[in-house]
This record gives sequence, structure tokens and C-alpha cells, in this order.
Amino acid sequence: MEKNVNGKTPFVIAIEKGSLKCIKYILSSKWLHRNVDIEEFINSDSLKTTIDKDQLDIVSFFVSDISRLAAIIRIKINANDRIYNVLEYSIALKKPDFVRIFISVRIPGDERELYRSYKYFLKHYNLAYSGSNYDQTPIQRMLTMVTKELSIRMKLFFFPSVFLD
Amino acid sequence: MIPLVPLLLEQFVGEDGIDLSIIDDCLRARPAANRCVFGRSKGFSTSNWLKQHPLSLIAAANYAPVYDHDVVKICVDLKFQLFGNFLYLLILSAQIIYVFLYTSVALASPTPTQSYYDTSNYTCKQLCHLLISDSRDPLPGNVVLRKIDMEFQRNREIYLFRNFTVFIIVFFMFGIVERIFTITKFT
Repeated sequence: MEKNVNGKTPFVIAIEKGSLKCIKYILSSKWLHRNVDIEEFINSDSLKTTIDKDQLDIVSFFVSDISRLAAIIRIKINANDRIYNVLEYSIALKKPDFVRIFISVRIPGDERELYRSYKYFLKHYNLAYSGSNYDQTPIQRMLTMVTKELSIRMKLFFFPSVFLD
Repeated sequence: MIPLVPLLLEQFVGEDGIDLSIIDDCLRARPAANRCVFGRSKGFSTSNWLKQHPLSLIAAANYAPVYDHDVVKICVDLKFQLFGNFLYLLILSAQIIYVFLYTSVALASPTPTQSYYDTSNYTCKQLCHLLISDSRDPLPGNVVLRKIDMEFQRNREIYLFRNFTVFIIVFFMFGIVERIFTITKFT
């Protein structure tokens, strides 16, 4: 995967443009499956781009396959010098749609090892966000995180002049 | 983001049982040194642990689909049973202290100079002979016999009273424990 001058691979550019067709085409290549590791594509750069650019259909395509999911739950995204997994990253960015996709993956009953690591991914105990003092698990983050819509609604309720000007 | 929590909890309900580790990785009243990593970081006290515990956060969020979820309900029940165990231990230790104190008081209290203990080594016949053949004070109006009789009556009352109080206390304690178990069963 060759990078351009901005350090972007073709795969990341495809994600940026939201071209699900192109991504499906790249990932369905049999030659690539034989010769390139899946983690060359499903890595922190591509997942970070997907979440940052709100590419919901691409992320739901990513989690729909077991080998891709196994790669996703191993990903560590570096944000503000702190390392988070994709779930913690999307909670931090207050993107409930991505959180919903990451927490509602159905794993077949015979994939015990993957299910175990997926559960570990869901209760990963990790560093606090910059605003909080305590290390947290995702459930604690979700329970303490005020959603963006609610905070905007509250701002609109308490300081309407800011928005009306 | 709170409406999504039930979805997350649902992932821990498997075909072969429910994994409670999403709520609490040890299910104890307080964290131990080597277990219960939940909420552990630098300068983290147990009171902080209780404040940051998912169950207290769920209570603070006050969102019905979350606190009505089976995983949460089971965790709360188990925690309540832990409290029952604590109460039982408290009652048990109180009872043990009571028994020790009572026994030590009974053993340490001084016996009167003239008591029925003095004659405990004699048979009745020997005692009668002793009383009759006392050259200095030959049986002055059956004072000793009367004393023996009196002491026996008094001590029997004490004995019966002690048994009665112990019975009452044990009865009430069993009542409390029974009540706790019924509450935990039906909630």
C-alpha cells in the first residue's frame, strides 16, 4: 500500500470520498487476500478516517465480516497522545451511530475466541479522557458522556441569544 | 449515549449464561488489592470506586431500559446478598462477644465466703453427721440447711433466667436472618 505525499493510501482516499463500491472492490480481490494481510487495510488510519468523516455505511460493511471485525477490535487509535480503541474513540467524538454499530455486532456461536476478545474490547479498561480524572471502561464512558444533541439543546435552552444572533 | 447501554449489556447475555463482568469484574462490596481493576488508577480511593461504579452511574442516569436490564438486576441482587452476609457476620460476632463476656464475668465474679460450694464435697449423710456432731455450734436452728436450700432456689432462678434470655436473643437473631433471606428471595 503505497502512500502519497500526504501519507494517504488509495484505500484511505476511497474511505474519505465515501466510495463503498471502491472499497468493496479492493477488499474482494482474491489476489490481495492471498498476498496482503487484512491489517494492511483495516488499520488505525482507515478506521480513524471512517469515523472522522462519518462514513456509516463503510463501517457497517467493515464489521459485517469476521476477519475484518477481528482486525478492527485490535486497532489502537492515537488521539491527543492517548491510545484508544475504535469504540472509545467514537464515544469520545460523541458519535452514537458509530457506537451503536460497534456494540451491536452479532458473532456466531462457534467463534468463541473472537467472542472472548470482542467482550474484552467492549469492557476495555483504559485511560481517562482529557476532561475526566478516572480511568474508565466503555460502559462508564457511555453513562457519563452527555450526547452532543442534548448539550446543544441545553445550550439553546439556556443561551438562545448565542444561536439567534 | 445512555439509550445505547442496553445494547452493550445485551452482548454479555450468551447462550450459556450471563457474563456480569461488564458491570463489575469481581462483585464485591469494595475492591481487593489484586482484583477488581474497575476504577483503579493513581490516587483512587474506595469511595471514588463506589462513585464511579457502573451501578451508581446507572442509578444516576435513571433510565428505565438500563436499570431494568437482566444483567443489572442480577448484579444488584448479588450485591444485596453480599450485604446480607455482612449483616449475618455482624450478628454472629455480636453473639460471640456476648457469650465470651458473660462467661468471663461469671468466672471472674467472687464467690461468697459462706456458700453451698463449701459443702459440695460431702454426701448428705456426712453433712448431717457433721452438723449434729459440731461441738461448738450443734445445728443452731438448721441455719446451714436453710441456707443451702435458699442458695439452691436462688441459683436455679438465675440459671433459668439466663437460659431464657439466651433463648430470646437467639430467637430474635434467627428472625432477623430469616427476614433478610426472604427479602433477598422475593426482590
